[in-house]
Amino acid sequence: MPRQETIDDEFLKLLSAMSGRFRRLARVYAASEDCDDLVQEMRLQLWKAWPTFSGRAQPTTWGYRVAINTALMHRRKHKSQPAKPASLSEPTAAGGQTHATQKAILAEFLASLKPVDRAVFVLFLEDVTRAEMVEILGMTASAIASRLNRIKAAFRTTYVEVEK
Amino acid sequence: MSENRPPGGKTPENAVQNNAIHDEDFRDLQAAWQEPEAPESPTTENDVISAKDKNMLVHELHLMKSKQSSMIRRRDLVENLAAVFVIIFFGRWAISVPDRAQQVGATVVVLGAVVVIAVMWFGRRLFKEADMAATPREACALQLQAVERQQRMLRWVPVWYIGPVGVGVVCIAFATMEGMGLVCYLIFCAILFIGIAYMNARAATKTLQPEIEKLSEMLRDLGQPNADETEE
Repeated sequence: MPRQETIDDEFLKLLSAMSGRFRRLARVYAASEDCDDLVQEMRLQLWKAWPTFSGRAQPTTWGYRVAINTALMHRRKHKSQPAKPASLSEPTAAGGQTHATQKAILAEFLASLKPVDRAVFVLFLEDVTRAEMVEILGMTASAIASRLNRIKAAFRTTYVEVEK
Repeated sequence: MSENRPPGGKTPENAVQNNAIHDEDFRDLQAAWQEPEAPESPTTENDVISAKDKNMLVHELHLMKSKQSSMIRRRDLVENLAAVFVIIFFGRWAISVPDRAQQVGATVVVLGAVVVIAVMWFGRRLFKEADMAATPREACALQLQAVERQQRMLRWVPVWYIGPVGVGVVCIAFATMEGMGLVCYLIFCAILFIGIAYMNARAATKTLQPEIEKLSEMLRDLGQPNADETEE
């Protein structure tokens, strides 16, 4: 791979677009003290893989794939550390309390999932379309749908109040 | 929020309002998930990236990449230097001594060091860094192969690392020593070689085996490339 002395603008645009997504993904797969390392690793892997990007897929779809692979492999290196979710921010504006609670619930739930199921659910939370999920994960649409339904059912069972 | 609690007694603060998942939409949860926790910096989608920030980013990425590769280079350099030292030292010994047994022993040590260099060189050539742009299944399979290969190399250390060098060293010992000196030296060599073999075998089991199991489990979880699961 040729040494990249510069970064082209397309890559920079992608990196900007993925920045927040990398961080959210890193929180799910790394302990709080390792989050920054994982985000840096994702950026590095994105940069290393950039010359191989053919442009057939959407850049963000391709970016997600690199990030998820990095996260899945990253956990393997730090297996001795429990994958506790990083601490969440304090509630901010009106409605923030609800969001903070929901984030805490999501963090707890995601930590209980297997790594692959975690990736599926994170992509769902990121509002990624089913077609993009197929592209990112290399699974069939029905396999993804099946997993997602199972994960949602598990979430519902654990966290939703039952009204009489 | 409803006062009623499901079996299991979830408290309100641990539960999600039912309307958050009404029609299985999860919209509220998605919004909560995507809410940024802090202003993004220094690059955001609408920010103009200055040339200075761009250069800093290039520098940072190069630094990360070189930090990773310099660790590997350093380790390889140490091992190669040690092998070269052994080749030079025992090579000169093989050439200069008249005793046939010592010549044979020294030559075997030299060949052993060459085998070590060759095995490690081929190992590096075969190692293919997992392609992070591949599907998770392909990346995971490649990573699993690499770790399994590494485990095999560690388990076979007695054969390709210790064996040839050890045989040569023992030959030289028999040619140059006798009596208690020889016995003590052989015991020392045996302890050293067994220790090296044990540590490598232990690393293969303690460090790499759990990683292999987890990668294998992940690979099973990722399923076959075109497998469909039953939609519930």
